Order: sequence, then structure tokens, then C-alpha cells
Amino acid sequence: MSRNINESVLTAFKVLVAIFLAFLFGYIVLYIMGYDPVVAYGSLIKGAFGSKRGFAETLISTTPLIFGSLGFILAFQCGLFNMGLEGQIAIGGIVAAYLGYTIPGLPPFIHITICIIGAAAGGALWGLGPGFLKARFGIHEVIGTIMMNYIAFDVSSYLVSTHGPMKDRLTDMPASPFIHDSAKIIRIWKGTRLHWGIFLAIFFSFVVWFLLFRTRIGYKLRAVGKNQFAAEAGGINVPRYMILAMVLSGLFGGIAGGVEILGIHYRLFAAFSPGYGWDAIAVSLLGLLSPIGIIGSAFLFGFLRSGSILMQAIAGVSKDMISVITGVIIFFMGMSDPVGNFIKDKLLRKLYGNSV
Amino acid sequence: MREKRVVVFFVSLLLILASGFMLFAGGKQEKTTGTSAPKEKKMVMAMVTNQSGLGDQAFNDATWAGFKLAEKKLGITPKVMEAREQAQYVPYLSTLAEQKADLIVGVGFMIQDAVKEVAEMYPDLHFGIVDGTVKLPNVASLHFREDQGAFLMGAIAAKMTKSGIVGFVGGMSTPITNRFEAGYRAGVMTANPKVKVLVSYAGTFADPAKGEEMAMAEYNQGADIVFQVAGQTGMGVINAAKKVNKWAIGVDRDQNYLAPDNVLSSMVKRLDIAVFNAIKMVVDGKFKGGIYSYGLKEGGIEIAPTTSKHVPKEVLDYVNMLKDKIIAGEITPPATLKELESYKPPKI
Amino acid sequence: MPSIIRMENIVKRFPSVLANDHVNLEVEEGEIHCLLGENGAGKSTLMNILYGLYSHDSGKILIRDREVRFRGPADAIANGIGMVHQDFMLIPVFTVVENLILGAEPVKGFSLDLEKAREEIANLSEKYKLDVEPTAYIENISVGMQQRVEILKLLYRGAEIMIFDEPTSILTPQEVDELYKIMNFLRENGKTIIFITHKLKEVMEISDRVTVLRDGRVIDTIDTSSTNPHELARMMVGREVLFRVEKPSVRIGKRVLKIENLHARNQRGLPALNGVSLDVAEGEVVGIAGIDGNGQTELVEVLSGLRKIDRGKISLYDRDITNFTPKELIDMGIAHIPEDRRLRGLILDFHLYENLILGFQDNKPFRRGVILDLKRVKEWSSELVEDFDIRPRDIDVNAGSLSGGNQQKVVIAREFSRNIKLLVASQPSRGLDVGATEFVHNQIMRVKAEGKAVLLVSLELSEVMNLSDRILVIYEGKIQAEFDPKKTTESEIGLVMAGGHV
Repeated sequence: MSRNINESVLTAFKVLVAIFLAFLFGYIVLYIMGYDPVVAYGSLIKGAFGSKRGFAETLISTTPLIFGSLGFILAFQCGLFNMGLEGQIAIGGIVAAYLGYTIPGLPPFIHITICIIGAAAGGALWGLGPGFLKARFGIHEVIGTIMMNYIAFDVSSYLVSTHGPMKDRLTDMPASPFIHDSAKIIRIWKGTRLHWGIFLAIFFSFVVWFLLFRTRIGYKLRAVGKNQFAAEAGGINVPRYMILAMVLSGLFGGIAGGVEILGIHYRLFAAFSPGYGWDAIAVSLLGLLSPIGIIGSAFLFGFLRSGSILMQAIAGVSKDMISVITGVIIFFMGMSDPVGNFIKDKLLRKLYGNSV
Repeated sequence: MREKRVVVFFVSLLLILASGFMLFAGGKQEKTTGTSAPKEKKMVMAMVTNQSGLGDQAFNDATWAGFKLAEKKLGITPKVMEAREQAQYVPYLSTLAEQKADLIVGVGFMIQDAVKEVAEMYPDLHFGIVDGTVKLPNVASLHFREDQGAFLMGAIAAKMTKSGIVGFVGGMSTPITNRFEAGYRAGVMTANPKVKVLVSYAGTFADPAKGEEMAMAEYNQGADIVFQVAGQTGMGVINAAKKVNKWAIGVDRDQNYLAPDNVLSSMVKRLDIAVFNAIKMVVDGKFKGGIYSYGLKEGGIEIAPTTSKHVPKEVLDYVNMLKDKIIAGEITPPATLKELESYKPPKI
Repeated sequence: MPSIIRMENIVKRFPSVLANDHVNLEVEEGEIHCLLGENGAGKSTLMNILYGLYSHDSGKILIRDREVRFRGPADAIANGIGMVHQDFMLIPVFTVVENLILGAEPVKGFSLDLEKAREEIANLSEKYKLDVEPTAYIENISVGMQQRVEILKLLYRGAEIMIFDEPTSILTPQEVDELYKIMNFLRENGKTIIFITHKLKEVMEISDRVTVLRDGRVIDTIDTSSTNPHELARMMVGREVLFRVEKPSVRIGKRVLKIENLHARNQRGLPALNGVSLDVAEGEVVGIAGIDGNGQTELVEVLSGLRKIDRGKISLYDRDITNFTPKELIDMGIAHIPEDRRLRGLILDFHLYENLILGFQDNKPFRRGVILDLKRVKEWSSELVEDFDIRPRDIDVNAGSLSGGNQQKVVIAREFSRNIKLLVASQPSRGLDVGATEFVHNQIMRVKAEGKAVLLVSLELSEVMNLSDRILVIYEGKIQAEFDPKKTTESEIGLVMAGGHV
């Protein structure tokens, strides 16, 4: 047991080292580019934590990142790479918005539930396609999901274009009508846009953890992911679980999109997700592909996203800098085995002798 | 078991790290405000771009030029934030509001909802919106009569075409680009009813490659002049004109410098003037919300000065004559595609 | 003879195990010295220390009485030590010459002097009778040839002491004979060879002296001529090893499995089984002998539901089970030891307790609604680990971290732990050492003693001979002949296996 604790401490340490090195790298880049790194980082942190609104925005960005990452993890645990989260988010948004403005006169709780279930179903359907193609014909899921993305993006911009069926006739905006008040997820912090979605996201993180590690479905799903040949010999219907994993993965992508519409934008417009589906991949990796771990890494990415706005306003640093930092974090994560081993070999051996 | 430990450890250390950063940043922040305090307080005016961002050679750059002009003439501090994502408009605007910027201008009608949301949240601050409408006492909505300018571009195109076919490439099909289209087609109809107009929309304001593709298609169908109203996408249209050595007509700014031998004319939207005027209102303490409409009469819409390079005097005279009639109210170009349907070219 | 290598009191500790516990090894110049021991006895660790891959915690290494301390393989190579690993370190798309000169490229001006290297290598190959074509591409030559390229690489780098890490495990019998010839020839030319193995037969055939290791300690070093396989086996395993399995006498009962005229295709869609018919009865072990690739793999896959058949009929106790799914077959009581346990038998990244329920994850008592009852799973797994002597006794470790023998024990524990009617065992002792093989054989005999039916498929003829009540020889997807192991010889069966007739 003690061996396991050491291992987990080391893993966590590696993640932190990667984050630290990435910020250090960013610091140097900022300096070379002629910015004041202290002001830049200062405004980054102030932007994300310095005000009530900023902190709320951090949590607002965290929410869809958690949902998206749960989707990514569910597919990944089954050995599949869902690159279609951004498209699934778009579909979830479309369905949620449509149900949100077409159904009148429902009590809020019921209306919101219907919208979220609809969004989940839409996303699940978007995952089903590539999952089925993979399981039945062996078509690589990366290709399938990316193709489905394009369909989703084009569908959503068509729906709200000038003559699109969901276009709001009352304004110039290429957007749908606003959803009814009964479909709006209640905001929980006055003066900010923060809504209940963050708690829903954290709740679902535990649900997914339970599903993966405590249920028979999760066991079979992971078995297929780790060794589909042994899983097959063990009586597990491999194609069925591959499809299921993609459906569940898309389902969470759909919820991410639905909650974003119902909690933040209140209407559909094209590209309402600023790349949450792509960030979710990095968030999942940084969260060590654990449904609980991603709460932390989604929060980190939410912080960077929300803080970068003030960083741009005060220090004039483009938010592309944030993309550099997140990219470097992932890079160092990838390198962290060599780095971690170096620390283990040289540092811990010095401290504890050869028994390590 | 193991998983749980990793996570607890990871999350708690992350929080420690974050709070460490906060302390560090907080201390530093005081120092910077301390040094800037004794300086004379300048007014800070900020703009939030649309998805095209600065460098679009059109819309955002023209607005930014108004800010730079105000910096020189009125001594304000201009700030720009490039919002590349529509979903991020609200956080961008509210970040500036939190910084107590004296005027916050959103560019493009897509940002309309966001300006409304934030202006409601900060009723004491002044906002502006270019090409959009927000009916709030603290928002100035700056409108342009694109129909009038596009009408004149249509007239130039109709007079200059050799093939008898002219083209139009829009970004997304929106009420504003549709307004351009209506004015343009009415202008063509007025100057020469036999000229055919090809119309296409790229579906985006941010994709030059798509613009080039669209323009090429129209040139291949016989058009020899294409009017672009497509932001960054329009850069591709001008590139296409260069490649096939045909004419393009620019938008928002005088775009002749982009391809001196291929940009026939440009419909100039004096966003700089409109924005400068809005800034001046704030500086003078006379800010008032409402709709400010800029047309030919107000000097908010112009024919690019470089037009005389390629357009012969008689055509220019004809166009100036139309311009005078519009200012005098004798001609009213259609402002929507619906109005275009019932538009009858006046006898001149 | 003077000693060329002396390793004194070598200690090497890994996080969970003491791999070498004050090991002493003395190798004489010009001998073939075997390092014998079970998997995990510390043989490879010791040699990796000698080759500079690991650093030892304490102890001394002397080469020709001069103490050395290697920081890496480069130091070892400079001291004339070379090693042929189990996994070859060759680049498939390079030629032999290009592979050999990697790291020490001869140059002429700015260009590689390949011609000079080729000549040198061709000469070496001829001198040591290695028969390697220097300009051949690695990907185009046989495994045996690749191994000779590795040997040539050592010679090219001037190695005097050559370490072979279980070199025969990947070779065909003919290639093994070739290798022995080469090793003898190298010895005649003054080279010293250290040969790591766990196979007694090899020790007896090739070595001059043998050092036996067990649990990280040296048991003894003796002259091969003064010992016998039984003594070596006892030293290696630490107890008496019976080479003949005690076959329990069981009454042959009702027919359990009946296969009629079975036709099936292989992975590439070509016919692999062309009308196989056989049956197995209660208390009976039926052995399938044959050369690899004659349909054994497909037969086992069909019986475990992993492969659909074209024609034919399979029944279990007269119930038609043709083309049943794996899950249905598992639930019918068919246990399956797959030929590749790492691919089909285990999920290496899963904990032991997760592996021990693979196949009955949906059955009582582990099923509690949608939930997998981990408490029950762990209790059950702890019992199995104890009953089947799986080491380490820790159900939380991943299956991948276990030795081959213990991995096989996990598979066996899982498959035998329930009420089975038929066992289909495919190469159950593949890659296992003497002790583990004995364990597996005893377990199969236990199943037989309980009156269950066993279908045993093995490429090792001796295994089939030892365990079976009846032997069926498979050739090109058909059962060619049936033998009674008591009334036949290996050569008689071997003839049929190769396609001849009785």
C-alpha cells in the first residue's frame, strides 16, 4: 500500500512540475517578447480570481470543460478517441435551444430537465454514428467523429442563417429566438452569470467515476479499452460496448452544449462554444483521465481562459499566449515520465538511499 | 483508492499554487497602480473587435483609426481587445466595464446582444455599438447607410463593365450585407438595366480562402467586376482579382492600396468619423444614447478618393450626380432585399 | 583454466524484491557457462549488471582480475563484453551492414565507407561460419539469421565474452542445432560464452559448467558432466520434480464434447479447418498434436466462441452449441486456457481481482444490480490467490507485473474455480519454467480426476504424450490419425505430424 501512495504522490508531483515549467516557459517568452511578465501574470490571476465576476467567469468556463472531459474520458476508457466533442456540443446546444424556445408554460425544473435530456440525446446520437461505424465496419473513430463535427457546425450555422428555420425573425443577429425563462438554468450569484451547471458538472464527475469503477458496465467498458481481445474471450460483446462508450461520450458533449445555452447564452448562435470540445482533450490528459482529476484540470483551464481576458486588457498580451502555455503544459506532461524518473533517480535516491 | 489520493493531492496543491500566485500578483498590482497614480488621469476608451479582429483592412481597422485619431486630437488612451469568439463577447465587454473604461465600443451587429447585457449591468458607463442597435440611454448606436454607398458602387460597376456581368461576394448573409446587396443591385439597375449581377455569400467573415474561391467562381462565370462585402473573407476576393487581373470593389476603407491595379473603387464607411464623434461626446461630457445615422449627407459614406485613378471623368460625373440626387432625397436606394423587389430605377 | 570474470557478492535490490543476494559467479576463459534458474531467479538481472545496464548496490566485478565499474553498456563493450538479448536490437529496414556499423560508422572523407565494412563483416561471417549475407535487409531474413546477425555484431565489436539471454526460446529445433554448432565453434576460437536458460535439456547439451540460481541466490556451480537433469531440477526448483505426471485413473464416462465435420476459415479467410471430427468424454484428456499452423488455433477459437464456423456441428452433452457466443459458452461450463495468455487471457493493465472475474463479471455473486460487488470480488480473489499460490499475494497489483508462470496461474485459477464441464487448454505451459509447468500439468490432471473432459492442444509433443489418454494428430485442418500414448513413440507421431502416413 505504501508503494501506491508514493506512486500517486509522484504522479501528482509530475503534473504540478509540468504546470510550473509551463508557466516558467511562458514567463520567459513574455519577457523576450517585451512584455512585463509580472504584470501579465498578475492580471491573469486578477482577471480570474480578483473579482466576483472574474471568479464566476472562471467557474463558468470550468463547467462545459468538465462535461466535455467526462465525455472524452468515457470514450478513452474504452480505447476510443472522441475528437467529435465540439460537434456534439453544437448539437446539444441546438436541441436545448429548440426545446427551450418552443415549449411554453412548463415549470422551470421540468423544462430544464427536458432540455438537458434532449441535448444529451442529440449529443449521444452524434456519438452513435461514429461508434457504430467503428464497431461494425472498423472505420476509425477519429475520422468518423471529425466528419460529424463538420456536419454539426454546418447544420448549426444553417439553422440560424438568414433563411434558416431556427432564425429569430425579430433581430438582425444570426441567432435563434431566446429561450423561455422557464428553460434558463437559475443563476446563483447575483451580478454574475454563474449558474447551477457547475454543481451539476461536479455531481456528474462522481457519477461517471462510479459508473466506470463500480458498475458492471464500467468494468466491461474498461476491459474493452485495455484489451479487447481478452474482453472478447471473456464473453464481453466488444462492438456493443464500443458503441455504448461513444454514445455516452457524445451524451456528455451534448450536455456540455445544452448547459452552455441554457445557463449562459439563452439562444443559439453558430460557434457558441469557443473550442471547449477541443480543450476538453487537454483537460482530460492533464486530469490523468480520471473523472475526479478533471475537476482540477478543468478549473485550471477555466482560470486561464477567464484570466486571459484581463491579461489582454491590462498587459496587452494576446490570449494566444494562453494557448502557448496550455500547449506547453501538455508537452511537459508528455515529457513528465523522463522528468519524473530523473527526479526519482537522482533526487529521491539521494534522500532515501537505494531503497527507493 | 489510488485514484482518490492522486486527485485529492493534485487538487489541493493546485489551490495552494493558485493562492500563492494571487498573493504574488496582488502585491505587485499595488505597486503598478502606485506609480501611475500621480500622472494626469487620461480617459480610457476601448473597443472590442468582432471575429475578424484587427488587420481586416476594413471594419475593425477603420474603427480603430477613429480611436487613434482621438488619441492624437483628444488625448485619450485607446485600448483594443480582439474577441475572436462570439461566445466571449460578454466577458470581454464586462472586463472592460469592470476596469471603468470611459467608453466601450463593440464592433459589428453580432456583438449587439452582449453590449445590451453588459450595458444593462453597468448603467453608469457609456457604450457604443457600430452597425447594431441597442435601445438603452447609455448606448450610442452608430448606423451607416450602406445602401446609399453600395448604390453608387453598383452604378460605377454597371458603367465600367465590359462583359455585361458584375459580381457581389458577401460574408455571411445578414441584414447588413443584404442591405449592401440591395443598394448595389439597385445601382446597377439604375445605371444600366441590361447588366447582370451574380451574388454569392461565403458564410463567414473570416476566411480569405473561401472568399477567393467565391470570387473565382464569379469571374469564371464572366463577371469582370466584383464588389466584396466580406471582412477578412474579402481579402480573398481582392487576391482573386489580382490573379485573374480583373476588377474588385473594396469596402469600408479605401482598399486600393491592397491591389492598386485591380481595385476599381471602394465604398468607404467613415467609421473613424462616427467613432471619433462618439468619443468626442464623452470627452466633452455630452454623451447621449440613441441612434446616430451616417449617410452620404453626413459624410459617413464616401466614394474612395482613388476611384479617379481608374474611372473616367464622365462616369465619375454621372456617379456624383446620383450622389447629389440621393442627398437631395430625389433617389432613395432600397435598404432591404424586399424594397429592392419594388424598386423602379428613376429616369435620368 | 584462469577465470576471466569474477563477480563477488553482488547485491541488487529492486523496490519490491531482492533480485541478487550476494551472488558469486566465476566464469573461466573459453568455456560455455550456463546460468540456470526459474523465471525471476535473478539470472537476467545479474547479466544486465555485468553488461552495464544496471548498477549493482554492492559487490565487485573483476575482469581478468582487474576490478571494473561500468557506467553503461559502452564500458562493457570496451571491455570485450557483448550481449544478445531476447528482443533483437536491429532496425528492420536497414541492411545487416548498416545495422552493424551503427554507432561506429567507418568514414572515408565525408561519406560512409560501407564497402570496407561489408568486406570486414563478410570475412567475420565466414570465419565463424555464421552464413550471414551482409547486404540482406533485416526484415527479409529469418529469426535465426537475425540472431546470428546479433552474434556477428558482437564479434564485429571485438567481444571476447558473449552473453546469450535465453537464445533458444524463439528458434525452431533446426535453428537450435545450428546455434549449438556456432556456439561450439566460437568456443573453439577462444570466446567465452555465458548462456542464460531455464531449460535443463539445453544445459546438458551445450554447457561445460552450470551455475544454478534460485530466489536471487547462487545454489551451486558444478561441472555439467558430473550432474544430471534431476539434480539440476531439484537445485533449480528447491524440491523434487517429477518429470512424468501422475495420471489419475479415472473411469471414462459419458461423451461430453462432440465435433462433427467442422469447417472454418482463418484470419485471412482461407480454409483452416477442413472437416474435423472428434469427441471427448468425462474423465478423458484428448491431446491434439501437430505442427504450428495446421488449424489448432482456429479449433480452439471455435470452441471458445471467438470464431464462427462455415459448416459442421458442435455439441456439449448432446446439446447443439454451434456458433454460440463466448459468453454463452462460458455459461455452458467451457473453460478456456488461451494459447496467448497476454493477448486473450488477461488484461495486463487490470488489477488481479479484476482479471480473476473476467468472464463472469455478470454472474452471481459479483452482480448486484448494475453494480459490480467489489467487496465480494476481492474476497473471492484473495481466496484464489491463496489457493493457487499466485505470487505476489496482492490482488491490487496489475496482471502485467506478474511473471509468466504466475500470469498463467491467474488464468487457471479463474477458469478452474467454477463448475466446468469441459476444459479447452491451448499450449498451457508455453513459456513457463519447470516448476510452473509442473503446476499447470497437475492442475489439468486434477480436472481430469474430477471427471471433467479435457481437450489439450500443444505444440510440445512430450506434453501431449505425458498428459493425454488419446492423441489426435492434426495436419492441414484435418485429424489424420489417432494414437494411444502407451503404444506409440514420438517419432511415429512426428511422421504423421509432418504429413506422412502410418
